[in-house]
Amino acid sequence: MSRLLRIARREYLAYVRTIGFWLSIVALPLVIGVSATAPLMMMKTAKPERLAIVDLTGQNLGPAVAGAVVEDQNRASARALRAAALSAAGPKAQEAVGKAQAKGGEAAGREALAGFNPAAAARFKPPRAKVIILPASPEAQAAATPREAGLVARRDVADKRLDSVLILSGRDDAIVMDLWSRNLGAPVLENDLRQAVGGLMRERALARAGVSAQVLKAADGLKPAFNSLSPKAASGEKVSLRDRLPAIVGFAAGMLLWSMVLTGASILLNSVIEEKSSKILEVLLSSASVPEIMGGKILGVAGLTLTVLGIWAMVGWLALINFAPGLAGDLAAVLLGKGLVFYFGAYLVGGYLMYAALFAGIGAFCESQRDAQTLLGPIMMVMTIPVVFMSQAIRSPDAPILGALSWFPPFTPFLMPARIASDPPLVQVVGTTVLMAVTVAAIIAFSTRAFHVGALATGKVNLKTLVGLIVRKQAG
Amino acid sequence: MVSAVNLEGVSKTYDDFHAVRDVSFEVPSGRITGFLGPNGAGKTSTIRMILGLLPVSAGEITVLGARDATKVHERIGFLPEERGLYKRMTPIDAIAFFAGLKGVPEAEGRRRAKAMLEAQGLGFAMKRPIKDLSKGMAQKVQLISALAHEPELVVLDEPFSGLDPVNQQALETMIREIAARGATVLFSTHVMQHAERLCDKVVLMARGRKVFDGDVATARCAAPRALVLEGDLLAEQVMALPGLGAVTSEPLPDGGWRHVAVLPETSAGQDALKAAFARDLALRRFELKEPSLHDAFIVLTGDQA
Repeated sequence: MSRLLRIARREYLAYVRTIGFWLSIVALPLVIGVSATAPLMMMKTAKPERLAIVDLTGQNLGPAVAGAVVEDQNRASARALRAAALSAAGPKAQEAVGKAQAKGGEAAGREALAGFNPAAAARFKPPRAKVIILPASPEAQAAATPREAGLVARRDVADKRLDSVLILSGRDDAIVMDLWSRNLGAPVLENDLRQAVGGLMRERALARAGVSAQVLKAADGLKPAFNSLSPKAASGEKVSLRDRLPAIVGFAAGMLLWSMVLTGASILLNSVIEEKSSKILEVLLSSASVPEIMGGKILGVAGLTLTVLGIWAMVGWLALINFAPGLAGDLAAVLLGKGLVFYFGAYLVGGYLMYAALFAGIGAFCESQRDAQTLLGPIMMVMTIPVVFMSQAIRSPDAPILGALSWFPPFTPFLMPARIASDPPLVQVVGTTVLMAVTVAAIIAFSTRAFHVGALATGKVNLKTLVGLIVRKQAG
Repeated sequence: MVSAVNLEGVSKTYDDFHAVRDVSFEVPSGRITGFLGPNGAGKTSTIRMILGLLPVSAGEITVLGARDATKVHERIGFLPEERGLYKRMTPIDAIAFFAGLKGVPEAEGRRRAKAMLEAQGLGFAMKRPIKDLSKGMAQKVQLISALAHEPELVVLDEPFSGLDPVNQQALETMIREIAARGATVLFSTHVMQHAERLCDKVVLMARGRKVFDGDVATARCAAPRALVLEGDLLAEQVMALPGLGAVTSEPLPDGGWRHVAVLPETSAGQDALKAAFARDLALRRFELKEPSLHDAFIVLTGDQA
């Protein structure tokens, strides 16, 4: 086994054998999973709000508000069924379920989904109701003024018999809503009730102006037929989710590459600092050449990065094909069909080599993390720039600023993956890649020199002295 | 005698600072050579140049017949001044790893590591993380790491620093064993007793220059012999004795004085002793002191020491 491979193997095993490595592998998916499911879990586990409505308007507004709240919950359930159809069976199923719901309601929607994916239809549970409407207490109903009703509502809420009480008073265009609630911050309920009451006020005002209920319902139902079309769409015309998926995948890949490159380079930096501070580098230098040491370390940490990426990809893929097979199929088509996976691989290699070599070279001058922070501060600030612009690549991948920034080699490995799915001009793809490769070669040459000088240097080093040391190294 | 290392007019400068100036010496094969000098004398820079870790600013170095030491790395064992090992590694893994870098196959490296650890009484610790070992044990592990590939040339930079007397003795024994199997040993130190006990040859550096190159006995000659006189006699009385050079005096804890008088090359001290007895000086003890390497070191390195 060559020295380079021995060093790479030691580097790889030194990290893989630690508990911290495996915890870090679990940590990111766990954080993503928890972030994604936390709102849903909270919704599922939250008790529905027990709401009573006291109507002092004399215009029968209370029952109408209650009806509007229930209708809103039904709409949420219908949306959830369409979302389940999309993730389980793709856009066609989503469209079919929507049409079935429009014709035959919830049951018809479920039947339509069962036609595409029976298991998903059986598994589907509508979201839990946010609000249960209960009758107000007799004293509240008998109250003559909002003040009297408020006293009763206050008692009922304080006694926990109810979570909220809505007192409606006033008339016609001057309706007043007093919401008593146990929860000081209940913006969702407040918003829902405001919308429901506001809608009813608008409806009744129009009715008073002579607009019939049928005309109003018909007017509310009016929506333009909208078609999103693009010559870049797979159909040649109509844009589907599948057409938009590459841009989303590109953005996700850009972010993933950025975090993987930064993580890998940081691991390498810490490893070099440990060896420098514990004087192991000098022993290594007496046994192997600088390219062998740096190459071995870069290769070993690359193995770590690929292990992490491989495990995440496998777990993610298994989750997708189990819970969203439709999306998994589309994703595979995007990654393989347009060759994106190969571009991503090339940019990962380029980005990793560029930053890993740079961090290793700088790490050789550092006895501690504090030393490294001084030297790497400016580099880290520059590295945040592509993150800011990556999300813009989803909406406007051809924006001139993105095109210009892609030519800056330190940004190329992150911005080009985010744009590549949107078919940027070939000259940009080839040009930026060549420029990136040249920069990688230059950084490796610079870092190799820096590594040799830094490994034997002592004392604190800032950017100026670092460059000075490297430049005069050959002077001997 | 064939030399394992040969330096010809070697210099090393860092900007305007001359760390090593025009140094030439040989390290004879199969012998133990001490590389001596006070801190900052240029020993570590010279060792790094010998190992090919630093380029020379001027001159030429030949190591095991090669102009470029990196070409013969596998035949050299090196223990740096500031020791370090991978703290989470076990001794057996660490030794096998470094031996592997020197071309020893994995299985053979582990076999040698096991045997050498056991020989040094560290068999019980071979699978413990190095961070759990004492400093002395870790230093032994590092020395074994430098030796496991059975190098022809062993370069040790300040190998005794930080070791307690028991471990210093053990290290001296190891160095003798290395030389006994035919390897060349070059070690730097500023503790003369080790060099005096171990070395066939010493090279002495001061302010980046070589100030002596030869065997220990010759080195000692650089310092004069001295006559030590103890008793209730004053410095003026000693200075008045014939055949003595400069006199240094210090009080004794139990009263009286200890005088050390330099003997010129032409004087054996008898005249001074005869005169002392004749003058009935209150002499309690006298001694003819042969110069040590330490004395020579002080004389040769001057005020830098």
